[in-house]
Amino acid sequence: MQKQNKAAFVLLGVNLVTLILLGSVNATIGQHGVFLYLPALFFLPGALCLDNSRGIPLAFVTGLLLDQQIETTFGFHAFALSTFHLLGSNWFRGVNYRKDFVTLALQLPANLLFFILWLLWIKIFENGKMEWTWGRWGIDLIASTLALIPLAIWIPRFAESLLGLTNLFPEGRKELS
Amino acid sequence: MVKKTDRRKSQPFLFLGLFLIAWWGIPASWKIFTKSAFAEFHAPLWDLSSRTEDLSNYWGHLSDSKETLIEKAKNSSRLQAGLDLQGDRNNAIQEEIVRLRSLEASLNKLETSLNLGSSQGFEPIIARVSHRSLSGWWQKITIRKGSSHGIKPGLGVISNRGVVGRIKSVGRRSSEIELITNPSFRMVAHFEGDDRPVTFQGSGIALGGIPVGLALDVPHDLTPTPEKPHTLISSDLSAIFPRGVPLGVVKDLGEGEEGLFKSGNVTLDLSLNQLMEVTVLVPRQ
Repeated sequence: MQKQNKAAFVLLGVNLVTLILLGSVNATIGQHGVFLYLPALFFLPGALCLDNSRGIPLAFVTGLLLDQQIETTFGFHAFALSTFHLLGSNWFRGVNYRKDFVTLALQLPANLLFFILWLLWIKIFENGKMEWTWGRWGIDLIASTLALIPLAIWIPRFAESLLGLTNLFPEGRKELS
Repeated sequence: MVKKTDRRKSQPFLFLGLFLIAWWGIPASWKIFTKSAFAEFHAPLWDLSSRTEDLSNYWGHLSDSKETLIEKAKNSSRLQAGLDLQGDRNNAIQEEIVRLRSLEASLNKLETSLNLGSSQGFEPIIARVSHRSLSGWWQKITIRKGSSHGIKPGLGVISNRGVVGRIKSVGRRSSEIELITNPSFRMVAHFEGDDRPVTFQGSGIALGGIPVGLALDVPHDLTPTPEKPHTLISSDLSAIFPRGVPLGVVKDLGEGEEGLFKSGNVTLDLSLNQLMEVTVLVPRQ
């Protein structure tokens, strides 16, 4: 039980490091009119290694941090990531999650869905206060999808190796090969 | 058996749905408080990363090659020569300052005798940018100064190139600035050489990182062209900016939605995306 709590804190640290690095990259490339919007990166380590009682709070807090950082409606990513955590953890129970393309197969459509959901949210609820032009949406989507492919493979491995280093990897689960 | 498993699987979704409804009911003030707590948590991390960048720049210059150092020494000598020239001009300016001070004193005397309020002035607070968040839907920058330096929400922010935005939220040692490119940013402006007020509204950062805005409610007799663009400047009617700070240039105007006024795109300064330092304007009491 305590092991799972510690693992949740380690994964929160992983998400925080990813958030900060992504924020720093965006601060630079944002000057050229491109923004990497990658919320799908943050639910997978929790879905792979934690149960729902720890994974959902982890996804929720990460979502709130993301909402604050990229100035989205406070709570939007918190609930969206929690939902994806539930969907992801149910899905991984039925497949061989150890293969990289399996994690990619979930994260790529999830990120596309985030793009569509957030665009719809802006158009419906934030009209006049925020704007995401179709041109920018398309460029951001292409750039984010390209950046997601290596990151979606690296982050679960990074999280698992950290859990392995701290002897917190959940019993009965094998690491990504 | 199957039904029981399904129910167990759907239970977390049900709880999440209930929590979502409860979240909707939570007062906005609580959410703002939580959000600002998260911002306070983030701020030192951005501060640290920006200071690390400054330090790496410093170390980078320390390890400059011999050729670079010679080039820099030449530049330094040129600057020194310029400085000597400026010293001579400084003496002339000192005399001018004395003359202007006496004029200011007599102007203040006249304003007092006529019972007129003196024109509003501002105290500048210079702050370094610690982080930029320039997404497609919202553009903000974070600076290294906050409430402990006298910064409050709503204050105007400028740079050496023109208007930057206004303070949106303030932490103890950091503040977030809403850039003028946001669609929610609206302010009164003037065209240079014209007293009639027009409306400026942000319009995002276009492809290639070009910041853009909109000029609305423009009188029909103003006709800028690409060869002869008009400069849009801030108005003192906005109360948070002094008059005359540049916003951008307008090269073309079209018919507005209602046909009474014209409207057009405002090309903003490209450096808006790359600012390293800004000035917060605190109105004098």
